Amino acid sequence: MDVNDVKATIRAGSHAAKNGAKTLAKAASDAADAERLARQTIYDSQDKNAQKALDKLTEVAQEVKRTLRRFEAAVEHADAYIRAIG
Amino acid sequence: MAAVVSQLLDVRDRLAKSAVTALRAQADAIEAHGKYEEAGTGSNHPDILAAVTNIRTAGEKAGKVARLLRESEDYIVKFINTIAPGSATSTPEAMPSGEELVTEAAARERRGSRYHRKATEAAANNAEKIQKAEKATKEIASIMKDRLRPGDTQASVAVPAKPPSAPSQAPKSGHPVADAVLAAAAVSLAVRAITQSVKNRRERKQSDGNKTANN
Repeated sequence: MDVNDVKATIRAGSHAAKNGAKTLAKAASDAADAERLARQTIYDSQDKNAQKALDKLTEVAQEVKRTLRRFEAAVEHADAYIRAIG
Repeated sequence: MAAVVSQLLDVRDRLAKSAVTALRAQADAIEAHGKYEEAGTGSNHPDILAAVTNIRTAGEKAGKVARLLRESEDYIVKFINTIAPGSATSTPEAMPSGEELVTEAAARERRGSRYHRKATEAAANNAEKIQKAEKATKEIASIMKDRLRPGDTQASVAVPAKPPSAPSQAPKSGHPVADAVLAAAAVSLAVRAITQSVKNRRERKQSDGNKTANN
């Protein structure tokens, strides 16, 4: 692979990474809608399954943030590498 | 009570759908990882190494998000069945169609990802149904082989105009997301196998016809 091939391959990777971040943001937004609806519906329930369902969704929101940061960091480093190899 | 159950069923469907979306994000990350790794072969530059590490973690975490969504969905289903026994089962209406899955799998393969096996394994691990995925793969591979005859290079990676009803023939796990994952995994494996055979044939042709070809 010459330098141009390397750059093109990295750009293709970053394109996929950006798609992944967008797709995950969509999943997170759908999940947040579901969570709002779930909390409205079961806000006064002491049922342990209901509570666990809500706890998992809290965890989802936190994990999504961490995941999106990883996607962004990957693309930033990939961009930096492209600049580094000229 | 009926209104509450109906709202909770809606929650269940939305969670099932977002879990599938998160798995797609994971597949994108795995594809990106493959590209970064390919581009960085032989390099120890900290930026390419960091890109590879970060995207790998992103993929793992997207898979975790999908798993958490499924777990939440499972608890919702249990809760629904506590307050109204027998009202909640699977959610086929929330799943992507077989056509969508086949189209996506074929599109990914066309983009040349050599990390399909990893994606498939990750998806299967996620659903904890590797064995079923393998079985589904064999069935769907044979369906696709029937449709895509060897000798027709282009057709081997093209999406059939009318895709096979692959997911409906895959073994059912009883869980809609698991079924969708199995279907996606099986389709992607089948497409990969067929593409590999075409690649082999191309390579043979190249070495027969043009020994100066270099890669």
